[in-house]
Amino acid sequence: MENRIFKIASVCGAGYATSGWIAARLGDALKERNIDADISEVKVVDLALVAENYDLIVSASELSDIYNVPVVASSSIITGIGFDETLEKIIKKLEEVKDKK
Amino acid sequence: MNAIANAISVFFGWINSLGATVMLPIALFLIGIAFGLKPAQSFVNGLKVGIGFYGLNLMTGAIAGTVGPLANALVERTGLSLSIPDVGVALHFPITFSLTAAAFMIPLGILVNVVMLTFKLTKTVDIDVWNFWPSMFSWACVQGLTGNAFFGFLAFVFTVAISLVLGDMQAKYIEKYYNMPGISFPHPFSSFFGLIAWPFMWLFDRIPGIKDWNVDIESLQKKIGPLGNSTVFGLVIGVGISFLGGYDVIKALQTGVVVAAILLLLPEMLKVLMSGLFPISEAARKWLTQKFPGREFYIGLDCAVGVAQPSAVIVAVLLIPITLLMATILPGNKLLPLADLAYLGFWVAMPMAQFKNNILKGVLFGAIAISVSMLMATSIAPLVTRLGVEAGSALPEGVSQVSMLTIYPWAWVTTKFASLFTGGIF
Repeated sequence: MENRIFKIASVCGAGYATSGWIAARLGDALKERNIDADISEVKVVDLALVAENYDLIVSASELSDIYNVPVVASSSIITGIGFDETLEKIIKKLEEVKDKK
Repeated sequence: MNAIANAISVFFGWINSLGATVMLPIALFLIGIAFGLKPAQSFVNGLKVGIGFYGLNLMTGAIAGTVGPLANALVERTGLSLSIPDVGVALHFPITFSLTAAAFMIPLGILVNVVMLTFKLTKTVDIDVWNFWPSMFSWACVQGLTGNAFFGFLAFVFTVAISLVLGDMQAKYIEKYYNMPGISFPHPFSSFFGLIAWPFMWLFDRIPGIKDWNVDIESLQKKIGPLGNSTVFGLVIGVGISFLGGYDVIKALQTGVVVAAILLLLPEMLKVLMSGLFPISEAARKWLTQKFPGREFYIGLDCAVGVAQPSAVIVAVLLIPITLLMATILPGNKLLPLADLAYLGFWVAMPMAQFKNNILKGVLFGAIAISVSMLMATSIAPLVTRLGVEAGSALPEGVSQVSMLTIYPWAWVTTKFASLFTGGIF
C-alpha cells in the first residue's frame, strides 16, 4: 500500500489518554508493515462532525456504524488480547478504502 | 544523622524549587530508564511532559482574563450565584503535577496494584497508568488540607485501592452490556459513580415507564450527535452566557471563541503531555501482563473507553443543557460549568452498562450525579483555588475562587474525612 497516507481517527471519551495510547501503538504496528498512517486522537462527542475527514475510525469501544467511514473497535490494541486479529481487521479495512478518495 | 536528614531536606527543597516543568522531565527520564527505555527516547518523553505542562499553564493564563469577568457579569446581571468558574483541567493539572510525588505516582500506583494482586484483594491488572493520575488529586487535596504528605499518600492508596475493588465488582456489566469481556475500569471517577448507580438500578426498575423505555440509539445518535461537537457548543454556550451577562454582540462573540478555545486547546496540550507517558504505559503493561498472565484477571482500562459507547455519547449530549439548568436551580451551587462540559459522558461511563444502555435512565441518573459533583466542586473550591495558586496557576480576574466540574469524588471524600480531624472545613 505504497504512496498513500491513510488518515485514521482514534476515538475515546477524552480524546487524549486512551485514544492517544491506541494511536501510538497502532502507528508503530502499521509502520512495521510499511503502511503510512496519520492518526489523530478525537473526543467521541466531536466525532460526528469530523468523521468524514478520515479513511478509518478506530474506537476504544464499539461504536455505532453511522459515519460513512469504516469503524473498528480497538481496545485490544492496548490490552494485547486479540491484538493481531484487530490489526488484520484494520489493515483489511484500509485496503478496502485504498482506492477511494 | 542530622547531617543526612538535613541533606535530604535540602535536596527535596531544591527539587521543589525547579518547578514542575523541570522536575517532571527529570523524574520521568529516570523512571523511563528504570522501566528499560533507551536514554534518548526517555529524554524526549520526559521533555514532552514538561512541554505539555508548560502549554497548559500558558492556556490557563490566557483563559483567566476571560472566564473571570464572564462569571462576574453573569452574577451581577442575573443575580445567579454562579461565581465559581469551572476551569477544568487547567486547575486539575497544576495541582497534581506540581507535587514532587506526582513523578512517582506510576511506580506507586503499580506497587499498590501488585500488592493487592499478590494478596488476591483485586482481580484487576491496571495496565493504564493514566488511571493513577486522578488518584493523585486525592493526595494533593488531603496533603494541601493537612500539610502532611503521609496523609496525602494514604488518600492516594485508598483511592487506587477502592477503584480497583469497585472495578472488579462492576466488570460484569462491562462484559454484558459493552460487550468487552475481561475488561474493568479501575478509575476513580467511574468507580464512584458506578457505586452510586447501584441503588438507582433498583429504583429505576420500579418506576413504570422508565424500566422498558427504549429508543433506536443509532438514529438518535445521527440526529443529535453533531450537536455534541465541543468546539461548536463551546462557542454557543460562551455567547449565550455572555448575552445573559449583558455583553454586547462583539464582546459576546469574542468570549464565545475563547470558551470554544478552552474546550479545544486544553486537551491539545494534554495530548502533548500524554504522548510522553505512553512509552512508560507500554513498559508497565508488558511487565504487568508478564507477571500476571492468563485470563483469570481483568485488564484495567481508562473509563474513557465507556464514554465512547454509543449510549453514553447520546447521554453526554443531552446532559449539556440539563447541566446548565441544574447549575442555576440547584440550591447551594456556585459552580458555573464551562471547561468540563465536553466530558459529561464520564458521569455515565460505568452506569450506562449498569442501566443496560437505557438512555432515559442515563439522563436521569446523570442529572443527579452531576448535581452531586457541582456541590462537591462548590464546597472544595476554597481548597483547590489555594492549591492552584500555590502551583502557579493564574486566578481568573475578578473572581476569588475557581473549581472544576470533574472534581474527583474520592478526593472530595478523603478530604472531607481528613477535615473531620483538622477543623471541619475545607
